[in-house]
Amino acid sequence: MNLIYSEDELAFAESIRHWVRENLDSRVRDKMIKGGLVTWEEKVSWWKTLHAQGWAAPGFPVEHGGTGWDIVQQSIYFSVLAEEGAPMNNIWAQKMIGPVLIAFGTEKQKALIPPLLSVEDFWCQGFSEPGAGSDLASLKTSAENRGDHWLVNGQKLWTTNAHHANKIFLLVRTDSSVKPQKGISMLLADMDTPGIEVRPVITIDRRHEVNEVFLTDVVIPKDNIVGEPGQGWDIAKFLLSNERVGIAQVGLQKLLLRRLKSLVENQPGGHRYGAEVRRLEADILGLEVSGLRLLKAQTITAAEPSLLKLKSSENIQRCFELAVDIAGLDALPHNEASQLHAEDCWLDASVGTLFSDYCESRSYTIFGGTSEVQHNIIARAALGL
Amino acid sequence: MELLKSDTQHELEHLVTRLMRDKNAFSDLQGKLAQGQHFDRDLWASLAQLGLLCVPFSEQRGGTGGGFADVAVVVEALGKGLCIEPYIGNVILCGSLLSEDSSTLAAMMSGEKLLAFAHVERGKADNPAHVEASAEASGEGYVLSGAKAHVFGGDVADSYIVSARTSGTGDERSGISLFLVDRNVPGVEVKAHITNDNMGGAEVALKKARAQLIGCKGQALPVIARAYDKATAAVCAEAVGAMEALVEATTEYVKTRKQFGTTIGSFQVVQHMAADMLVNLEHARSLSIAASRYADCGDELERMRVISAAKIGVNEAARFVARTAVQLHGGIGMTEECAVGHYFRRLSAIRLSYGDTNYHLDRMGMVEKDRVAC
Repeated sequence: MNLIYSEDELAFAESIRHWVRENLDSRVRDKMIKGGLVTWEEKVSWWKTLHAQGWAAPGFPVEHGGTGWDIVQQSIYFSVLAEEGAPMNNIWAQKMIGPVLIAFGTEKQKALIPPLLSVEDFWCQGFSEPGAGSDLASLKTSAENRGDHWLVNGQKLWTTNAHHANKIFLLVRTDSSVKPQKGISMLLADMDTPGIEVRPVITIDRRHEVNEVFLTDVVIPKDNIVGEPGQGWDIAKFLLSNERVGIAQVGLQKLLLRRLKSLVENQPGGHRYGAEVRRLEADILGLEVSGLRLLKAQTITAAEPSLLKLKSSENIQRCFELAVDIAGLDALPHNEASQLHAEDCWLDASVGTLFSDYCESRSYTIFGGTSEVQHNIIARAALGL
Repeated sequence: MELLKSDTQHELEHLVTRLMRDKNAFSDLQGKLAQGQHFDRDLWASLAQLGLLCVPFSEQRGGTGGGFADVAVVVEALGKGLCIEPYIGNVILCGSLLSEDSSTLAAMMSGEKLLAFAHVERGKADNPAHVEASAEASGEGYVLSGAKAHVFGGDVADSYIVSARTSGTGDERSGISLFLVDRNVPGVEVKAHITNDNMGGAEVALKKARAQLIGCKGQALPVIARAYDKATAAVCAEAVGAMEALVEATTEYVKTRKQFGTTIGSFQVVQHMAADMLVNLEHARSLSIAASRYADCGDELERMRVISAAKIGVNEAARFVARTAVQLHGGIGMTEECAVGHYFRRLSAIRLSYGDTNYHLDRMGMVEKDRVAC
């Protein structure tokens, strides 16, 4: 019996769950549940399946491909997908460039939305730089006004999936004579434009997902600017505020909880960790209610998403730390490098790529605003400090 | 960040907040404690007059009809006001053990009679089925023998609801019955104490004390479990109220306290600690909301799972918020004259009451096993 959601909401969740079970490739599902590396092709194929169902971006206005679901239904959709072992969503389309094009795009730029949803186009986000991480306003990549075009020079870092993307949205400095925030603009570019070079960054999970993007004398057409020159900072803030739905990451945590419980049952000595797993279960319940409170709140300040992001990111990290502890030595062989796959590997299948996932989970308290930045936001916006 | 409160709930909250301000302001509380007064009859009479002792019961008996969410609103405001009177012990715990038409319940609701639940036996709090006290049929009623410990509100109670065995031994699940025992009958020996959080408690020894059976003979364990789950959900709300008071007091303090020529709240390390207090408070509030939703839930296993999970999380948050409030107040937070220390002790006591963290972790484990067995 579930008393957290209304009967209608529960029925909605069941309909999504049913559909996912029917339509998600079981091999992909197994990888997500037991631990395995989902390939780029598998992700794209899943996004296309969602698109064919009309679910590529539920939160968009209906005329731009949205579903018309209310905000709680959208959140249930994300949660159930993750809980059922679906690969991560195309958040670049759903939460980043998509909402920006809808809110700020010209008619010509809005024409980029359909291929965005069908995954004919894949966009990467060129925001961070070597010297501009948490302090994004200090970014240096410059765009010089050359009459009919912008001439862009600089370097972007942590550009997720740049090696798969055919398009990029960039924050660039178009005016260095004003206050840093006021001189930033947003530009759109094709990745095959001469002067754009992508180099891989291998992260501690030994995987290649993020990149450096070098921009050398890149010519970008004049009307590829989003909004007005100098409006880039406001657009970026708008983009980063699209986080209310799904920020509690409850679906992912429920999936991890299942993985943990299976480890407790199957690993030698796993039972010693039962109580720790139940503590996590308790915190996941709290996050689920917090997520709903955030969605149903009539007014929110900058602090509330930060409260949730802090708690959920730490919880996800605790899940992986605990899983590695329970797996013990079985977590050490590197499946991906040894070409081992969950289904044919001699290890207990529930261990899988756990260690890499654990390494990757350190990023949760860094991306999207580090935990330290979230603390600052809470202290300022909620406590007035 | 609220799930919407009903109009009744807003009214209840204001009612209790006003009452706490008028009759239990920290300076009033200090005055009462200085005189050794750990139960304020006048305050209790006001709770009765305002109908607050009836909140969980049916509307024809004076209840609000808003279910457990209304109870949580009241208890949270009492927690914020540092109320040391045994509201949960009387209204929630004993109130859930008695049937609605009982004259004892009516006397409790009107404030005439104070009750306390004498169930736990020394060293056996980790198993609600562990009852050694025994009941023997005698004439029209029963006589009880045994020893009960940690009886919250037992110092001032006029009558006790006592669990005792009518059959079985040790921790057998059946054979436990509930009885009403008057404090003044021969064979009842009450050793009163105050607790570290300034509330009242007692040990109650029974030597062939006359008692009256309540409810079904031998079938009381599920009734007790339900009542304790409600009390646990309520104490989670109380903890949220106390934590909220600490977050407010601490935020205010770090904005005014100056060291090194500036307010300590301008230091980032202090800001982050204060922010973490808020993170913990809001997390506990969400868990308390979950516990309230399930307090009346008929699905016993799910009710137990959610309420245990809530208490585990609330306990954790309570420890963090209480200790950080003392830390950020510095030396003054260590003193009896500062309210922070009182909340610290109350929250520390709540951690231990109605099942500590290990009790609830074990219980979640048992629920999961039972569910697999189903």
